[in-house]
Parts: sequence; C-alpha cells; structure tokens
Amino acid sequence: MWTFEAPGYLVLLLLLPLLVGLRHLWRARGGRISLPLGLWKGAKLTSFQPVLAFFNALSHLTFWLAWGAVVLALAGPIITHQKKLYLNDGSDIMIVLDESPSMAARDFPPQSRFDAAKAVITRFVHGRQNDEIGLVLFGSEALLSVPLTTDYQTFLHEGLDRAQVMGLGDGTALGMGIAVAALHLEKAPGKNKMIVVLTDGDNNAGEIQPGTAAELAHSLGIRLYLVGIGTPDTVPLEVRDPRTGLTYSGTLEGGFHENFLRSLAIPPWGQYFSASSPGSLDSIFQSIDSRETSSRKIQIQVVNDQLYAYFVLGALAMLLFSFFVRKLVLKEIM
Amino acid sequence: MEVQDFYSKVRQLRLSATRLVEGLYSGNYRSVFRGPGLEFDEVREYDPHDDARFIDWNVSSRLGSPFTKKFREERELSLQILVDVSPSLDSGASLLNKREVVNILFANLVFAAVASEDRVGAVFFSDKIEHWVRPRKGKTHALSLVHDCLALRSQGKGSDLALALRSAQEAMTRRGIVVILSDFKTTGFWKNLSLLSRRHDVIAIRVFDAVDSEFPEGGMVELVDPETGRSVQAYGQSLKFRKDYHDFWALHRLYWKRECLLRGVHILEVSTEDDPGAKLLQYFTKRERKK
Repeated sequence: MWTFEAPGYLVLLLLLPLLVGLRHLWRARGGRISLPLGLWKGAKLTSFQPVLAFFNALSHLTFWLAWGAVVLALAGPIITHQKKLYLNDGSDIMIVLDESPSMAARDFPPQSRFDAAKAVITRFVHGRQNDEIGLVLFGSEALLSVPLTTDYQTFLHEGLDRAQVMGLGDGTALGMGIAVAALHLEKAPGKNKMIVVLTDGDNNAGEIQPGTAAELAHSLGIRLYLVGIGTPDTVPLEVRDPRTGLTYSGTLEGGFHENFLRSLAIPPWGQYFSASSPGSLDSIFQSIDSRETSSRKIQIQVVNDQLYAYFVLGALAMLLFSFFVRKLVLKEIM
Repeated sequence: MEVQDFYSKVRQLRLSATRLVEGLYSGNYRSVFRGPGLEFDEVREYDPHDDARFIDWNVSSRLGSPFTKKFREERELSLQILVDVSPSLDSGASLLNKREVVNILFANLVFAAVASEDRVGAVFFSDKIEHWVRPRKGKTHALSLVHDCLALRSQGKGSDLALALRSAQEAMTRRGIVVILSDFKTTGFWKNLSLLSRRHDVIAIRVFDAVDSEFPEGGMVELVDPETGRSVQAYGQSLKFRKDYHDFWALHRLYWKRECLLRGVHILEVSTEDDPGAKLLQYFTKRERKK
C-alpha cells in the first residue's frame, strides 16, 4: 500500500503550476531577447520546426516532472506491507509415506494409491500455517526425506515431488518409517507432535516391528494417525523399478491389511482412518486438519519500504536529460 | 541619464550635424528641397507698373476698379519630423541601437534645418502621439527639440504611423517637408502617406539593424516581441528558421520600398552600422545632383 511519511510536503506540488506559469506564461519574466517579431497590427513572423519544437517540449516536460519527483521524494513515499508473526509454536507434523510397490495399485482410477496420497498431502500442506512439517519415506528401509520445516515450498518440491514408488526398494518397512519419524519428532521443540502415516498396511521389512514403533511414539507423547489407503478388491498394478528400469505389471489381490493397521492405533494417542476413495482420503485429512488446528497468537507487523531513493534518482536522471537536450540537441544559448 | 552626460550628448549631436550643415550650404540649399516658390499673399489696387497678368479679375469686377494679386516669396521651409519612439526600435545587435541612430538622424536634421533658417517641428509617436512640437525657427528651439527627443520616455506599445501622418497633415497648412524616422514595422498607414505625399515632400528614413534581416546562426533562444509581448522560440541552428526569418523581413522591405516609390516618397535606409551623418549628407548630395 502506498502512503507518504510526510504528506505535508505534497502542498509544494501546488507550487509547481505557479512556477510553470511564471516560467512559461509570465510575459515580463525576462531571460528572453527582445526582438521585433512582426508588424504592429500586421503580419507576424511564424516558423515551425517540428523536431526541435518536440525536443524543446520534451526538455520542459522532463524538467517539471523532475521537480514533481523531488517533491514526492520529500514527502517520503513508502510502501507498507503486513507481516504475520506467530507468537506460539505450531504443531510438528511428520508425514510418513509408503513407497512400496503395492502403492502403485490403481484403486482410485486413473490415479494410483501413491498419486492420490501425494495429491492429498499437497492440499493438506497448503492448508497449514506455522506448522513444521517433515517427510519420511519408506520402502524396504526408511529415511527422512525432509526434516521438520515451515518452508513448505521446499517440502513440496524437494521432498514430495521426488518421492516415487519403489524409490527405496520393494519392501514395506512400516515400523522403520514410524520409528524414524518418532525419533526425529522427539527432539523437536514443539509441544504438539504427530505422525501421519499413509500406507496400504503391510510390514515385511525392517528391524523394528510397527507395534514397537507405535508404542515408542506413544511413549514420546506423539499422536499417531494411520491412514489406510486402498480397497480390498482386486486392482490392476503397474510399477516401474527406478533402479533397473523394468516395468512390472499385474493385479493385486486384497493387498490391504486394515485390521493390522487398526491394531496399531492405540487410543487416545492413535487413530485409524480408512480411505477407500479419493474423497474419503480428503475428508480424513480435513478431520486431522481440524483436530490439529491449535489456537494461534498472531502479531501483525507493518513493514515500511522507503522509496524516496528511486524518486531522487529519477529526478536527477530527468534533470540531466533535460539539461543535455537543451544544451546539446537544442544548443540553447542562454 | 545624468545632466552632464545629457549636455555632452547634445553637443556631440550638434558637432555631428556640422558636416551635414556645411555640406548643404556648399551646394545650393534651395535646389535640394523644392520650396513652394511664390505664394499668394493679398490683393491690392493695380498700379500701372504692375504686370497685367496678375490682375485678379474676380475682385476687379466686384469692386469696380482693377486689383492685382500680390505674391510673397516663401523664403522659409517648414520641416516636420515624425519620430517613431515605439519599443521595436530599442533592439539591435550593433554598437548603436536603432533608437540612438534615430536620435542622431533627428539632431542632424534639426540642426541642418535651423542653420538654413527653416522652421522645424516634430511629432513623437508610438501607438499614440507622445509629444508634439510646433515648427519654429532658432537655435534655442533646435536645442530644446533635441533635448525633448533625448529625454522622451515612451509609454506606448506599438507604432501608429497612420495617426502621426494624419496629425502632420492637419498641422501643416503650407507646403513643407516631412521626414519619417522609423523602422516601419507597422501597417495601415499607406492611405495617409498617399494623402501627405500629394502635398508635401516626404522622405521616409528606415532605420534597421543587421538582426532585422538575418537571424544569426547559433542555437536556441527565446525571443519576445517588445510591442506585443509575443514569445517565439528561435532556433538559430535551423536553416529553415533562418530562411523563414530572412524571407519574412525581406518581403516586408520589398513591399515597403515599392509602396513608397509608388507614392513618390523618397526613401533612405540607414543601418545601425552606418555613420548616420554621412548617410544623410550622401543622400542630400545625390538628390541635389539629380535636379
């Protein structure tokens, strides 16, 4: 938003038309050579030089614009914008995403489980403010892809967009994923911590059992939301191994272990959701979203950017331009 | 102007006039200006010694006895000088401006006329008659005229030559000489000039400056007309501007010259770079030779 720090100086702008009038309309101004330019009550000398007259008008225009800019600079033009300052910490949310081959099953045609999960996470992240969000990926092993951060752009572009099915082998180390997330959340300074796990519910790899990992999370005071993606039906599957470049295709029969996941969610710290359609996945995240919205204290800081330097530089440039046009192009004598 | 300066200036002007005065004396003064010659004065009773040609028959028949016309030889001429004091004469790029040249010409003419025992008067005009002096004789009168000319501060903005010509016409009952000192940057006076030139010997002296015909090459400058206050951007670097300027004044000069000659008005052009006294003498010498 544009404002002026000292708008009182803008009154000087009213002086400009007066000066323009004195300079261009006042007949007794002086600075002009007295020479008869016609006959008394008779013919008048006229001569029109379009190019030179144009440059003359241009030099006058820039001259007066420059002084206008000087007055504006004097009035201290500032552009103000508001900056939100969060006074309390937000939640720390670690999203754990399954990269096992079964996630490529097309339960949500034309999307696979994995693509649907990514799309929902993206929407979820856009809806958060001031929460630190991290990303843990797991296949046959688990790793922290994005540490807890409020830089959501980095989270989306560097973390989530790069995740792909079978990026971490063809296993499903669910316990490892939960454990990695819990360990990273342990040291986080926030008070409200949670893990959101998106998986199709299997554990066939890794050193830590999911149950152990869930208990670990509970003992650290971390809430655990488990989201089971997929349908119990037989679904087509096509997956390309990023390491070998080979494409596997086939059908998946009941690759979804809902009861197992439900057992991991131990109230009151844990909760299980089942997502058998893209819409239900969205509503699950909405409910997590509403549950985790903590009361925020926001302070709005008004930041002023000083702009007078541009006006002063502009005025200087215009004055110099006007001067050089008058002296070099028009060869003004006086 | 200081009083001291003023008198030294008058003395200078008087000295500058001596050459003209002597030049005119050396020739036959009467041959320069044609005087009116004989002028009817009155009627008186006829004397047998008188020339029978001059009997006034109308009067003789009315009164019953012969009367003859008596003529008086017009010995003295009347010189009326019309001086333009409009602001357009204040400009000039030479050592002397047009106003000073006009002053010198005026003083020269006044002293020359007075030295020839002629009566001299003056009309100072701008857009009105600023000052008017009845033609008289004598050195004191001449000095006071020159004083008036130098001391006059014009208030007018413009040069109404037509008005001055009309005033001169009304004031001069007898044939005389009319000299116009002006830059002729005015209009609407041709009819009055025709009327005046029919009866009087009119000499138009046009005073001009180099800048009145050619605009100097150079750069941009803002000009202002001293009479109208109109302002014009002059581009000295533009060939077209200089040509427009030259054409405008050249056309005006040609027109002025032609119109003057058409009416039998003698013309003399004096530049600010000329010696005004020498120019006058040269003019009168040439005129004398022509006769």
